[in-house]
Amino acid sequence: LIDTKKVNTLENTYFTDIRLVAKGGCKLISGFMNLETKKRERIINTGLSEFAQKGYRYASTNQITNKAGIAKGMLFHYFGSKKGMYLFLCDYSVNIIVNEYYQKFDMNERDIIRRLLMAAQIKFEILKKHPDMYGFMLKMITEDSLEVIDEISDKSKILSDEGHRKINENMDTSLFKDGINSEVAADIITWTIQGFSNLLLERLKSNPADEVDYQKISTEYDIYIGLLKMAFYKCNHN
Amino acid sequence: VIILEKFFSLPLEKQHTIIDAALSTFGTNGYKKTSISDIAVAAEISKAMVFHYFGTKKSLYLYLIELCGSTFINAVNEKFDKSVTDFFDRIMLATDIEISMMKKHPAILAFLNSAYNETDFEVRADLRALFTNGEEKNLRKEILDGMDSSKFKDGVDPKLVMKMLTWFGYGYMYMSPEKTETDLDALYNDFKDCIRLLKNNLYKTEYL
Repeated sequence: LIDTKKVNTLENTYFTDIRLVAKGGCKLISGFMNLETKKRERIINTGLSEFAQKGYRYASTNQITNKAGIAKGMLFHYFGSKKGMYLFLCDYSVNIIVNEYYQKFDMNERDIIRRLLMAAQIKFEILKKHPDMYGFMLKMITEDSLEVIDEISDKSKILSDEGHRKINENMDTSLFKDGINSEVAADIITWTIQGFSNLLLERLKSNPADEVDYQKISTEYDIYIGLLKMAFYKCNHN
Repeated sequence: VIILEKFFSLPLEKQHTIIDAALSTFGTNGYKKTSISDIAVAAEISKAMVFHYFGTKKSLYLYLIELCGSTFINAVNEKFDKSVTDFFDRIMLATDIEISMMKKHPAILAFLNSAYNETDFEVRADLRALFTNGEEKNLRKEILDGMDSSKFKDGVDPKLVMKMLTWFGYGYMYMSPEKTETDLDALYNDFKDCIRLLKNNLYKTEYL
């Protein structure tokens, strides 16, 4: 499921970040990183899908070791605990997704709405490419287990803040109709998109990820975008 | 819906004292740092009575959220003038009612404001659900029923405009944590700008 080449090229950045984030856990995780790639990915993918399906509380390390075909003791040797493995997978996924997002995000596109569309498309592509990882992240964003809540709320915040910052940086206000208060317009655009994503998040939470109709979501999104453009953009940019 | 029979059997005045005490204590200190004892002290009743009426800190908190929502809706229902048919005039009317209510009850404003920014795990999932789907459902009906939608340009769905405005309001609340009366006026002015901007661009020119 995971593109091996991409993981390898990202490994260096990702590895330094892990050191910063998982204080004290470096030795254990470096043992895991020294495994042969195939085995490592098998463990990662099994973990991602188990946590994505069951959430932190109900995920079973026995299931993970069984499906990945390793001894139970090895998992604890690599990660220390279930929590250790979970937080490792969080960092791993956030890093890959943020990096892919950055690689594909074109800062030359200065139209704020097109940027938002681009962001949605990139997310959709990443979702298609790493379905387990994406399911894992969705679960992670709404995770409410006490044992991990503090650590992951920081990571969720990194994800949303990074996305938000990229969107507003150096946007082109000349696309707006003349005489429009571009700050207010940008605020309305931003909060509409934000509100739409929150609504989506609520919906995703009450539906298992595989029952969500992405086509419908994207159509709904287009309607809002159309409305925003009609309201604020010069006619020739509609 | 949370049912609190024991609490509702109290005389109204006493209910209000307890509610006000709880609103301002949570509003000032947030969910986590507020203890039932703090509320009991502020309401001048015993800690045991607070538990007796509300069960847990969480159920008291969620009850307060619900109460604020229904207080808003009741105020709007009561004062709303159905003979006004313009969408944006209706929005401003509802906003005026809400703002004057918040000015009259600063404890509600302080509480809601802290609730919008609350991140404590014990309540945040409930809060997010309430803020995303909750109170404005009823308000939306009030605004949209009998509203003149013919002024909108073709293809504009007033329901979506309404949603956008709600999101704008929440976004604003989220961006500026500490609210005083002056800030409320600033919010009001920004909201008016937002309304004007949308109206100017979403209405057919003959209605401007």
